[in-house]
Amino acid sequence: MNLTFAYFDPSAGSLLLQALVGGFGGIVVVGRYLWTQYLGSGATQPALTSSHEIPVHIPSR
Amino acid sequence: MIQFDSGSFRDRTSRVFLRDNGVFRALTAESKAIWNKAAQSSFLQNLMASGLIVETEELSADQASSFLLPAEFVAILSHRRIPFVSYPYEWSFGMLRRAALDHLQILTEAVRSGFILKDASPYNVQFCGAQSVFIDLGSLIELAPGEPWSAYRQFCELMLFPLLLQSYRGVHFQPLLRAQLEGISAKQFMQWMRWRDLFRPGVFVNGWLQSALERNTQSLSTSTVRDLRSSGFHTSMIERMLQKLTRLVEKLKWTPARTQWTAYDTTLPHVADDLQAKSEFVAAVCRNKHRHLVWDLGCNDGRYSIIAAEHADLVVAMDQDHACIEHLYQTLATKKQSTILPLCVELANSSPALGWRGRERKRLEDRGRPELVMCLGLIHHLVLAGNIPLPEVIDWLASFGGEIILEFPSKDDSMVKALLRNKRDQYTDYSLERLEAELLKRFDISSCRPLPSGARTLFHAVPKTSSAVTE
Repeated sequence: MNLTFAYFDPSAGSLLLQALVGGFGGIVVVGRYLWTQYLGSGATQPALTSSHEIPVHIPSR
Repeated sequence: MIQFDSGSFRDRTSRVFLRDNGVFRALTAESKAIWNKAAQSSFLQNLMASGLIVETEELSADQASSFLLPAEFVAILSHRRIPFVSYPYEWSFGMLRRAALDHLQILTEAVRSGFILKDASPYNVQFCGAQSVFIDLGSLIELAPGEPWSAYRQFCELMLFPLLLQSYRGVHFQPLLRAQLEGISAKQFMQWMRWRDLFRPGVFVNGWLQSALERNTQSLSTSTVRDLRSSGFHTSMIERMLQKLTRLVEKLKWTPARTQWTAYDTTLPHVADDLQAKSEFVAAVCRNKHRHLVWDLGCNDGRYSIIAAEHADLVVAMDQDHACIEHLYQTLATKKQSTILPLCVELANSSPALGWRGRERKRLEDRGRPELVMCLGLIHHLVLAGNIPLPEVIDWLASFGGEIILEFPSKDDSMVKALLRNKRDQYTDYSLERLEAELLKRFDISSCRPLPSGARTLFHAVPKTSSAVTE
């Protein structure tokens, strides 16, 4: 099922908070998320949810 | 072509319009598909049957075809009409708390059934008397697995933070919500909190932590909704959050301090003397005929609203004293009263038109035409404390187009003396003779009765016909 975005920006902080207070599983989710965002290596590639989405080309260093 | 309600534009997939005294919602193909699924689900049927969600039915294709809709809309829902629309900045603490709890309950049951509400606005809740009802079925969407609750921040800004502010710091949320239609940000909320408030339930996580996370994630360039899902976010985390928020809001209390108005009718001798006579006068006027809408301006404990409600579809009871309105709401809510709507309104500065182009939120006077306006124990406050000229007050009362019941305390009245004790008496327009003269320009005085205390007079006045006013 495709993600359904709201008609306003929910703010990244408020979304992360939901995982943070979501118990141990939530901490793991936030850990994975931060790994993806800030460290990069071994990061989970964001899932494509629509055929309209074009993968962003990240130039190699 | 259909003209959509001027406050219904944010969500392009579901828009409200009024026609022939009915309330309708136009749906796009996307929102129609969701409605088709939701209408089959027991959770929606149960919540509608319990009255928590407004009664709604879909119009048949034949019925819908009589409406000239823009091409993107493919179906129409018909909602039960709310007798008088009110806004969160007119509600007491208990009313906003009720709206928040209703929202959380609907959301919890929706999530369990595979749906979610895409926004979390208290404007989606209305009050039929003291009974709350959720009106925005367009907010219901299917919940994609792994998708977080996008409206959490909106819930905090428009419901949780205002409630916490009033409960923990005694700050009335109404002026804030009236000035900031998007609500109170986490950063602003934390500016009101003291360091020791961080240890009070809900403040650290929903306030400080959310504010800190917002500050530190502003530069992110990817979609957090998508990234969280790919990191393993689970719907159970939303459910856990909703449980915590429900427990938090349930425990929030605001105990209003005693104000000079909370026991006004029973503590002051002149008021107590007049109670019986005033009640009889109001009852006599009200039972004269059944009315759709009555306004009780300066309602205090709602004594006269209750009398009027016996002969009216709805009484809107307004007072600027939040403690009075909170007491009245709690009393009415306990009795499941649905014909008296209590609102916090400062009559010398009542709710204006607000929002985009001043059309999104209507001013108080544009939300209903009262057939009877009760103005008991109020005019001396408007004229002598609010410095509004007496002819202006009468002009304002006449502008509603209905009958009025007016109580006039003369300058011999103890309350009037109290209002004037420390100020220059510049109020040459404040006299019984002038009042009668001003009334007679716009009204016929149907009955008039001096009250037992000797310094107050009651009037029942009916509007002159337009031709008589012109003459």
